[in-house]
Amino acid sequence: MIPRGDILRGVRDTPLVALLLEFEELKPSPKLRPLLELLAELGVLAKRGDAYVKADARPPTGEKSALSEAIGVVLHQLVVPHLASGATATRLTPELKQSLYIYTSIFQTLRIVAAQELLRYGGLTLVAGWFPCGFSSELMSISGRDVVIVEEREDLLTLEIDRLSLLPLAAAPVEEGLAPASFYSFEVMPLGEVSQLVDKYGKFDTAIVCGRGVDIDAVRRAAEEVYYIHIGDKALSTLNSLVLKSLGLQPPTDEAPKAPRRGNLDGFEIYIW
Amino acid sequence: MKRYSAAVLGVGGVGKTTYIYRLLGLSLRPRTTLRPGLYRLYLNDREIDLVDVPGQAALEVARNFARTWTFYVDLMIYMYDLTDQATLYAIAEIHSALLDRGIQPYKNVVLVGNKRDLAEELGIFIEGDEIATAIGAQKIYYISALKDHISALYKPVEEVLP
Repeated sequence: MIPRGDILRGVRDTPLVALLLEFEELKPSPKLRPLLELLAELGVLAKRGDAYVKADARPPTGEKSALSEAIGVVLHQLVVPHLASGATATRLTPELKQSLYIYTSIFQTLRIVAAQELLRYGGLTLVAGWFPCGFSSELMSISGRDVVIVEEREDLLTLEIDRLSLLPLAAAPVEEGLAPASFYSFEVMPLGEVSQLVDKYGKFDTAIVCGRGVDIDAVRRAAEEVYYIHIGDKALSTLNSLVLKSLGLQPPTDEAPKAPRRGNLDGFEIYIW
Repeated sequence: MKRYSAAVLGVGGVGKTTYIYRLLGLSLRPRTTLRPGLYRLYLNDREIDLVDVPGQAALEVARNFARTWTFYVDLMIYMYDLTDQATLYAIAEIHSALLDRGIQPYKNVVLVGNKRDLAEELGIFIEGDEIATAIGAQKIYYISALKDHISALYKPVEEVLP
C-alpha cells in the first residue's frame, strides 16, 4: 500500500542527500539529525554509535516516478530550508504546491480502502486535516458521504478545491437513495477548534484524522465517531513529520492513542472511537 | 508534467470503478459508486484526474455535463459490458444526452468493452464497431478489467492522450 520504492528514490536523489552520501561517516548536528534519522529509517544509512554510516538500500532503477520527483522537490524546497533555518514555509511556489499535491497520492490507496472497508454509507463527515492523506472525494463516491474538509493552511486546501471542481453536478431525483450530486464544504481553521463547526453543520456522523497531530477530545466533541489513522510505517511517518513541521503544521505524536477499537490497513493503524 | 482529465461513463455494473481501481494498482471489488468520484493516476509524464461517474445516474450526469459549460475533459471513456447488448446501446443514449446542448465536452473519446474474460467464457461477444462509429470513438478496446495485465488496461488512456 505504501510506495516505499518511490519514497526511497525521491529522498535519495535529493541534492543534499546525494552530497551527504559522499561521506563515509556522518556525525549528526541538531539540525541535520532529523534528516539522518529519515535516511536511517529508509535504510540508506545505518546508525553506528553516535554516527551514521552508509547502508545498502538501493532505490528502484528505471524511469523516475512522478511521486519520486515530487518527494525530491518537497525535501529540497521545503524540508531542507526548514532544517537549516528552523523557519516554516509561508509562501509555496507553484512547483512546491504541485509536489505537495502529488505527495498526497502516497495515501490514495489507503483512502480508497478505508472508505470502502471501514465506513458505512451516508452521513456528514469531517476531515480534520486534509494534508497529508488527502481524504476527500473517495468519501463521497465510495461511502456516499457529505464532506466538510478542514485545513489550517488555505494554500493547501486550495489544491483540493481546484481539483474537486472537476466533479460533475447532477440532479437529485427523489427516488434515489442518495443524490448523485455531492456536498462538500471547506473550512480554514486550527484543527483544535473543529468542535466550533458543530454550530454551523450540526454534529458530524464521522470525523477522520490522518497523519496529523490533533486534540482528539476536540474532534470527538464534533463527531459521533472518530477514525484516527496513524502512519505505522516508520520511514513514512518520519518523512511526514518533517514535511508537516516545515509547513508549520502539527505532526502526530508517536504515542498510540487509547481508543476502544483499533485495526490495521497495511502500514497504517486505525483507532476508532 | 502534462495534466489531463478523463471521465469514465457507462451504465451501472459494466465495471467502471473496477477498471479505475486496477489502473491505480488496486485489485479490490468496489462497492456501488453512489456519487461521482475523482482519482489521480500518474502515468509516465502524465498526471490524469479520472472522474468516475455512478452508473445508475449516468444519463443524468451526462445531461448535466452538457449543461455545465465549463465541464470539459481531455478523454471520455465510454464503457460497456461485452456480454450485455443493452449496455452498449445505452452508450448511444448517454452520448446523445451529452451532446444535447450542441457542444462536445471532451477532446478525445474511446469505447471500451469490458468483461472480455466473461464474454469468452459465455461465448457472447457484443462488438462495438457500429456504436463506436456513431459516437466518433477514435479506438475500441476489449478488456478484462479484472484479469488483464495492467499494461493492457493503460492502453485506452495512454494511446489516446498525447
